[in-house]
Amino acid sequence: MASIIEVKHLNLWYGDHQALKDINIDIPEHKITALIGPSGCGKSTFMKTLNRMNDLVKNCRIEGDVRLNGHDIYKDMDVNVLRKHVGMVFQKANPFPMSIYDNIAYGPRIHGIRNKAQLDEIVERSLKQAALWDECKDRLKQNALGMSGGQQQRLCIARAVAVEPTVLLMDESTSALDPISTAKIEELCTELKENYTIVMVTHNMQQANRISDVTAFFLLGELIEVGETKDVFLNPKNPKTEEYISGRFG
Amino acid sequence: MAVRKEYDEELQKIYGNVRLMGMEIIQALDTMIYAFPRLDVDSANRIIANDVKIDQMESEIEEACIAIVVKQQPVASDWRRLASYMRMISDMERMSDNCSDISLFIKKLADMPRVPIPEEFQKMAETMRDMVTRTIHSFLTSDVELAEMTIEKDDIVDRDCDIIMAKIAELIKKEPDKVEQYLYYFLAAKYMERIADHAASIAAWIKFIVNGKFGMKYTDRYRNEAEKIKAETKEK
Repeated sequence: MASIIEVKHLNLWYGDHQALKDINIDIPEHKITALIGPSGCGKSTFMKTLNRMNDLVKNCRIEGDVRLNGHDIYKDMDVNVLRKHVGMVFQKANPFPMSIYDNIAYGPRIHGIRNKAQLDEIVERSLKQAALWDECKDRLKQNALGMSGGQQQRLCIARAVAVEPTVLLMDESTSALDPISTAKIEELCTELKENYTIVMVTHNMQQANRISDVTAFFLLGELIEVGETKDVFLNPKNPKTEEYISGRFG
Repeated sequence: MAVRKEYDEELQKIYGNVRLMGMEIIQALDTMIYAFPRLDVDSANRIIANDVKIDQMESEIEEACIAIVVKQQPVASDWRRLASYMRMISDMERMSDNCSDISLFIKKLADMPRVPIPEEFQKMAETMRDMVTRTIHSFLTSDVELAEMTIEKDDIVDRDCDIIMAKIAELIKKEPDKVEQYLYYFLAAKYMERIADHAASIAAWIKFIVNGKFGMKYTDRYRNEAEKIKAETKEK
């Protein structure tokens, strides 16, 4: 598996507290990588290092290498360029209080696209990629806040893919959704991985098992185990992984 | 801190029932091995009657496995155990059926004039029984080496079975009026060989439970035969 992101000896501190300890992991291209672990284990912190979301956190200190396609994202890359390449979808759908169309067109406009025809094409493509086009093609000018929770989350995915990132980060993006909306987004992820690399944080073991290709288990800031999902869920190497995924970790 | 207490208790209960089923199989086998050379009808009847109980055990374990899979979505070693149990109990149930089949032959043979049987019968039956007890022991102790040794022994039973069948074929030629008796012995040899196959299959699942590696046994005999067929097909 070719890697798109390579992380070497990554350490992160929030003040005196070390939240990530010597993380080494390669994120494979065009695959879904699930980050699992109990609350506070560092999985979300780790994911946020991939698009420098931790830069905004006061007293946060990061050491080590995080490379996207070979480029050190903390040294060789402007943060705005990085975030164009590495999009993010959050736990709670957060559409902008504007029309469906403008939600999607927002990112491309920021990156300088003004041509109406081009924006129309991007909006349609993005909504189709997010399996939302058929549901909202006739109400693109309506406020996005009027959509259902599942639709809003898919709109956020459409908004993220509108700027054509290479990596999509998903932070518990289905945890607030009903099973049908969750299934739609999971199906969407397996389609999206043809064009993007997906890294997702999830507390749902079945979800990680169902849709990810690679699973990484974090505990107390350490990466305990990473491997192909079928191996991690059938025959984990580390007893701590086994305890966690089988629900015996209390 | 231990969590999922109810789940663990249920898993333990299923394990206990698989173990009990294994003990029942050894009991059936011992009775059959005792009854076979003696053509003891009482023992044969006990085996047949007990087969119903073993069938019942299989379906109860199966039901419990399915219920726990649906409700608890086990993964890792829990899933390996449950998936293996479902295959193992199926093998055990077939072993019990084979014992019952042989018991039916015992009952028929008891009403017929006796015929001499190849001496290899006893040896094969003992090897087969040894395989079954080792398999159950390796299940109880999670002993992969013992499971592997059991699998290896299957070839010995296969060879003995071939010898017995060849000898019975010769005996039929010599005494064609006793063909019925010899056919029962012929089939009994084949069923004993099948019991050994089931033991090897269970041993392979025990390996899977312990180390997560699939280790199904394919005998050299079939591999050689398959290669021969492949070579012949190429030639054509």
